[in-house]
Amino acid sequence: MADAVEELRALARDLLSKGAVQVFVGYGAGSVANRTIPLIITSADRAGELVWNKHCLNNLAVYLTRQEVLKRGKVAVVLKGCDARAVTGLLQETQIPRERVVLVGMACDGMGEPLLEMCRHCDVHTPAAPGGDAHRLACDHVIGTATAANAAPDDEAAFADVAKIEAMSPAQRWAFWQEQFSRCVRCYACRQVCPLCYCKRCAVEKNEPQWIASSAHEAGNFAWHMIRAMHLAGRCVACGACERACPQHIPLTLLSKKMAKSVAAHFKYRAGTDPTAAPAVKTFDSSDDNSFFR
Amino acid sequence: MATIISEESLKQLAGGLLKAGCRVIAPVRQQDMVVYKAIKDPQEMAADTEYVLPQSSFKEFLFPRCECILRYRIGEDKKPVYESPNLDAEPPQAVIGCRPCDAASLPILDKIFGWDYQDQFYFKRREKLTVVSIACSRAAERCFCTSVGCAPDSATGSDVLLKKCGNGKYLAEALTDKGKQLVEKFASLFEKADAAPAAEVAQVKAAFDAEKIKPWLDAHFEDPMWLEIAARCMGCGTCAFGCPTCHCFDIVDEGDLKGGCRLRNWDTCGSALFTKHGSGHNPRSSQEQRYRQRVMHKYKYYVEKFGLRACTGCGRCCVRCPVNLDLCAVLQTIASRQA
Repeated sequence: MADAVEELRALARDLLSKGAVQVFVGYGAGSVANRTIPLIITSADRAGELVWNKHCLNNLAVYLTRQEVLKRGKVAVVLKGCDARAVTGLLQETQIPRERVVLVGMACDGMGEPLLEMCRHCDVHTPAAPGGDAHRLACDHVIGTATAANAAPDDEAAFADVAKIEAMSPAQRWAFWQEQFSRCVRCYACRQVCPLCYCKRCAVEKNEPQWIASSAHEAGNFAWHMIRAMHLAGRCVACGACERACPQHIPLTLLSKKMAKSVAAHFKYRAGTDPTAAPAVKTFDSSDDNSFFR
Repeated sequence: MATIISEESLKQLAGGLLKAGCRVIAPVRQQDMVVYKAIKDPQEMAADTEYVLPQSSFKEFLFPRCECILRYRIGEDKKPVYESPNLDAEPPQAVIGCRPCDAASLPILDKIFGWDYQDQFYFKRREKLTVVSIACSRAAERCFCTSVGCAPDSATGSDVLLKKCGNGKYLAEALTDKGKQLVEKFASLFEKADAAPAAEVAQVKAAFDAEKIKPWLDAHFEDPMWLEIAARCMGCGTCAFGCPTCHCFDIVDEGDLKGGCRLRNWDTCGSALFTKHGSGHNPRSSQEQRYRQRVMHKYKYYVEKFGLRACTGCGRCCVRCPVNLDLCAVLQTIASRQA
């Protein structure tokens, strides 16, 4: 990691000083030992503030659609393999022009101390470099090589927590989610940190009429989390940012993983993995099962 | 003469209040967190050693995250019938075992809710609230109470202040009439000692000089620093909703053809929608402007209007922020600058 951070700083210095980018988004030291911050710099002099360690958890792809960053010019962004999947999604959904961004992939053996559960099932430890596999998004630069072995893409163990919920009776499931959602305060941290939740006006903010109650009561909270899950079905790349951001510790990835599992089963599609694939929600296929139309 | 209560007797006190029909709010373990919750049984109460600071403040027992303030229905004669919630029917409340930084938010909230009108929803509950706080014997990493005029053993806002004094006992100090009444009512649960035993109180070093904050804010509404620190702000309500003093709300109507209700919901200046006009214009169009508002409101506007900072230094926002936009660190930066 020590070599990687030097290489990263040198690259940032180079890109900013040459004017190849005007903004560089990476990680900086946090206010406490086990945190980092998203560091947004515009001057090569500050490249030395970049860090790369076990606590670079945030998915920085979220900044690629933020005007606070975009208004300052062309942007380079540091991405882990999982974060690059979110950029794949943004490109497929034409949210960012590829030529406006410089993608800096960082090889990653997994984040967190102890290691995050999701990292145990990671199959993208090293982001793809230019000129490699056409079925993976090529970053413009890739720093380091991961030593951790990739899990199988269809690793069932990754869905063990979802299976536990599926095994519940409908009444048990209802009680489980009732308890979880009762804590939701509607701070929308889950939405704000999600790179794929880029709508200029979220469905919950549409109030003529108010389709989804913005109130933190039971019906409102159920509606909000259901809508969010459905809007991210086939789009969520399972980076886990929403769940980590939730101040009320609601296990949000259970919902998105359940959606991912269904989309994989019905449409053989896994979001953000293959930039050449047709996204499930953008594709109409007359051979799809339409038996639900009655 | 000192008054002492044991942890066990404190639970009995909570039990006594429950029996008397009082709603008792206490720190309770919930999954991997400790939260303030209305308890049914004193055994639910988390031990003082289990937490430094509950996940969020207890403000929602006075100012709920979502509250119906008016109900209406279309009567049989097609005329509307309005019903106000009966706040007098709500039981008295007692918070047992809160931290002094949360209790200290009460005089701050009293100002805003009693400023241009007396907010009956807040004050009806506030009048019936008794606060028993436990001074912190440990501090969390981001506690900065002493930097903003609060303290681990601050008496502000509490009716009774308890301080740990070893052997599972607390030194009790009744600070207000309500506090004295509570101690008298449950006199058998308190012991008397000739001399006050030494209390265990956490040491919290001042992180910055608060006197330097406002002069800088006065002169730097426009400053490149705001974009520098706040471009990364995600614009969620995590900081505001956990905050003991944040009090902004939104009013929404939910109903159908037969009737409905008007609700008051928590809102946050971090949200882009917070200031968006019907015309589409947004006077705070960028995230750094919204973050600036949060800092200005707490350490400048509130001070000018009410003579108090809208912050007790609990440090929750520093810890909860998904991008570690640490308010204490921001204030340190501000304090280090030349006004």
